[in-house]
Amino acid sequence: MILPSLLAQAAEAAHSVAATATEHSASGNTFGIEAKYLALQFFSFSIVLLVLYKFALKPLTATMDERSHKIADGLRAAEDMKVKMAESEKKQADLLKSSQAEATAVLNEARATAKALVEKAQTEAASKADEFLKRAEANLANERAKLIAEVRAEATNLVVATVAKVLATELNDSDRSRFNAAAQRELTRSN
Amino acid sequence: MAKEDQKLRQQAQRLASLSLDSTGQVSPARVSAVLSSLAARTVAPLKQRALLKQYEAAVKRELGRSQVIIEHSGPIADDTAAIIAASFSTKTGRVISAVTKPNDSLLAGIRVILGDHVYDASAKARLDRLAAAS
Repeated sequence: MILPSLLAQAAEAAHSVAATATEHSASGNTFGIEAKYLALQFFSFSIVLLVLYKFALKPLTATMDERSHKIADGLRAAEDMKVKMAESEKKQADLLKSSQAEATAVLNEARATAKALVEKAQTEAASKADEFLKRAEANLANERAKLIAEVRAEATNLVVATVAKVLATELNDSDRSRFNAAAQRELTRSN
Repeated sequence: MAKEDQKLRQQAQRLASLSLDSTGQVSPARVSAVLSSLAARTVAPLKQRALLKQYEAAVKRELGRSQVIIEHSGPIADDTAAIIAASFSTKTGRVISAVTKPNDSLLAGIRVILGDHVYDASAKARLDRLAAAS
């Protein structure tokens, strides 16, 4: 890249010098400048330039290009790393966010389940308590009715036994005769 | 076995009905005639004995249907037995005789027994009904 531009600049300078020399020679005034010496110097300068280009400028240019490539690669790698880091951070942030959302959902679900269980247990306990109370009340009523019936039967039996004893001792023949007459009327009427 | 017993009972019942006179009462003469005819039969002794037992039970039932037992506690009027017998005769359509029997456990009142039926108008029966109703 650099060599062609240098050669072009050297050729341009040689042409301008040759043109100046021709003008001076045409006018007859050369100012001590010979065209053949000038051409020779141009040739030797070109050789020096060529050698310099071959053994100094070219390796230096190659080294600089290589370093430039390395620097560019390093910058590109740094940019890539930066992009990857950003992506990774974004992924981590997204993951953290989704994990937090999931954890919140699980927590809410656990709370709802616990609340439902507590409410269910309370409802069942209340239902069982009501049922137990009703059963106890029914049992109590049954026991009370049974007790009343037993007391009534006992009292009736006692009264009947007492009346039987009283009748057996207190009724005289006159009373029995009247009762028998009534019984006879009852039996003959019913028949 | 059960069929044979039933057959014997039916046979005894027929013999008992033959032992009744025109008023529906057991006639001793007819009973004698039935027994004579049974004695004339040539039947196995065990079977004959079973038939006689069934006949005896049937005659007793017929006698019970023709007679009321009047149990009473305390004195009853002289015509009470006759009135009750006449009442039951009217109801059953056969001549019913009456037998009185004192029973102080009745406390007061009358109990009439006719065959398997009991008509109780005693104080004890009323008290028993009162106790049973409670």
